Amino acid sequence: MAKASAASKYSEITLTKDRDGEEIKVQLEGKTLEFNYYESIMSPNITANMVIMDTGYSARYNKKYDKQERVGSIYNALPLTGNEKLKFRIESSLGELDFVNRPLFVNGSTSPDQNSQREAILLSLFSEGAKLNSESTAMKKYQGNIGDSVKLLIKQFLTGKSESIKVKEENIQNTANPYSFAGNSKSVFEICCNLASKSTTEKDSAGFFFFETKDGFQFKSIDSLISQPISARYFKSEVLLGSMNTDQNDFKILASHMRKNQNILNALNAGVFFSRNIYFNPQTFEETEIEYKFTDGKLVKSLGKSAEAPDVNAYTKTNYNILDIGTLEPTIKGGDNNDPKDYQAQAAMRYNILFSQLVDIQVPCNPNLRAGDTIDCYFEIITQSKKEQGYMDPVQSGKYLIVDLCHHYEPTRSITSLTLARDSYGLYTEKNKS
Amino acid sequence: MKSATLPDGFFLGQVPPNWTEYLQNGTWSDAHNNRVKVRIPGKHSKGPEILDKDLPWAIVSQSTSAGNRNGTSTGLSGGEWVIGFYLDEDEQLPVIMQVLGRNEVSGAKIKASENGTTQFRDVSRFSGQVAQGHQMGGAPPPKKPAVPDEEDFEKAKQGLSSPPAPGEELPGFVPTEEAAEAAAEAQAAREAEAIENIPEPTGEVINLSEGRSTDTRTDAQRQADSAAQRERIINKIGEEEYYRRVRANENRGFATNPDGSLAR
Repeated sequence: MAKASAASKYSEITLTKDRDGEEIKVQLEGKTLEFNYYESIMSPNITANMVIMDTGYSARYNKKYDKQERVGSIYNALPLTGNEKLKFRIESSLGELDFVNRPLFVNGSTSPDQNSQREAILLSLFSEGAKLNSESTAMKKYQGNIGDSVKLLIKQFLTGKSESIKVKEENIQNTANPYSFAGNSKSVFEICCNLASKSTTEKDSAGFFFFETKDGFQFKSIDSLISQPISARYFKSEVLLGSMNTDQNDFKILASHMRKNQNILNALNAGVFFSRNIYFNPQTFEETEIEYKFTDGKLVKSLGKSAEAPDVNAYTKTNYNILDIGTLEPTIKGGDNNDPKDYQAQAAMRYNILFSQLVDIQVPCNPNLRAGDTIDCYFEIITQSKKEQGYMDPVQSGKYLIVDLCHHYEPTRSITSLTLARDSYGLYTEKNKS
Repeated sequence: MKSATLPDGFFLGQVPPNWTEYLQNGTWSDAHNNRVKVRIPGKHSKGPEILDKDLPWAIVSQSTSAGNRNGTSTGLSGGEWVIGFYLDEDEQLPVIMQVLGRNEVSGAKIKASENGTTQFRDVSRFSGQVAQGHQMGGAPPPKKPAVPDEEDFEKAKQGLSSPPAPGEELPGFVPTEEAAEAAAEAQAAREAEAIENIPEPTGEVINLSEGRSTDTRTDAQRQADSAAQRERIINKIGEEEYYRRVRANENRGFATNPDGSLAR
């Protein structure tokens, strides 16, 4: 067994509740049966859940409920009413998951198993950004580079409201296209996720993601994510490498499952390979039709060799757009506001191609991995030939993007579950066109 | 934000005063389908978080009577409450469909936005109504009535066998009410002119029927005509002068009809 799969250490895991102005702390080190931490490039905030087994010696009842102020279980004595803070630091052999200075908040709790001696408590948790997002209402007019608007929104509603939320400047990528828009009383997450699909880069394809990792909020283009250096290299083999204690086994794929490998009909219906795009100018009443083909070579970067497309002879989807001609400008002379011709069809293609292959894998716990990272995965070739010539499958192996991530901790083991995406095949990335 | 009562994508909003494209920019090159700005409760702030100038321009959809044959103004000048919908999924392109009827007896009204917002308060109907750009300027007023030239006159006569005499009725045409009135006025003018030229009495007997055709009118027609003629004469020379002349005639031995006209 790999060392990274062994039980991790809760060096701190404390539940804190503000009760009538007094801060009540409950240590959960010996009570935690299971802890799951989640990140996803399609989720603007981190979530987690945990299972606690409580034998009734955790917290004193509030005097207003129990005049004797007896000691009881967290669920009723604390009591758990939501919005409690959970600070934790979990140490594994490959790294640690540290949320001491950035606690998660209790969303809700259930007690599915309760008897006279003990009770199991299930807590669901969210990061502070999710709460601040619910309190946010963007009403202003935003203009200029979309990356700058995202920074402004984050500052206005997230980092400006809480000192524990930090955002690294380099994690918010500027776009090639400016966009003027009204907040329309929407929340900061809703706006940022919507902006991601309207963003494009100077040389690469359109399409961004807005998401949160343990490093904070990220607003990055798909192409910048897939072209970054790999964070780790994993292999799949039915044997252990070297001795039981070698570190190499920490990077062994424990289990894998190919969830999806293309869905041509869905892709055709989404207009991934061939779409017709109609644009109507409400000022000049001019109608423009543009056909967008995948084979025109607008997919600049890929995780493997160039992505392949089936032979499609006619457009399979029609996108209809009404151009924004100076809706938020003093005059109409500025032209189109973020012309959808520049991003819409391309972004639809980019998002769909990225998710053309999905693989679920489990690896020994690696807290250093984050959603949006890339890793190399080497899958074993199935052949009657001798594997001395190379044990890796040259098609399935290669670079993958982490879409979803879960660090799973139990008293006896720690693993990381990943959902990986890939837009193309092949062990090596083709030289990028940009 | 979804409205509790309006369908998804529809909105109820207020047009801020003086934010129509014509008032702001004043030239046709800047115009864009008669757009006005719109402040939408639930999407835009009541306070100054978003000012009138930062609100989106809304295209105003109009009735089919504003098609190419007519091309009318929207009639929105600011303060109106309107309903509309968004052209796009992201709700950035508003279109106004209809204006809600005004309640003229409502309370405190403002004449313009305060600190850049109406705060959704009632706006005086007559505030800020400035002539639109296309309504100002234009050609100078005419210095004299238009006179048709000879060419126009000749065209008007085309198809006629000969030019009609003044006042002559064209065959097959029923005179209009205006033409009948004009003809009556012309007749009255001619009679007044004849009265004006009546010489002062000299004492000689004048046969007023000389040169006239035999009168074939009935007594009732004659009395009615006499009464009308007396009225026209009185209108022309005045009642006092008329009766002075009647008395002078009677003194000379001329008879006077019951209506005051001279007996023949």
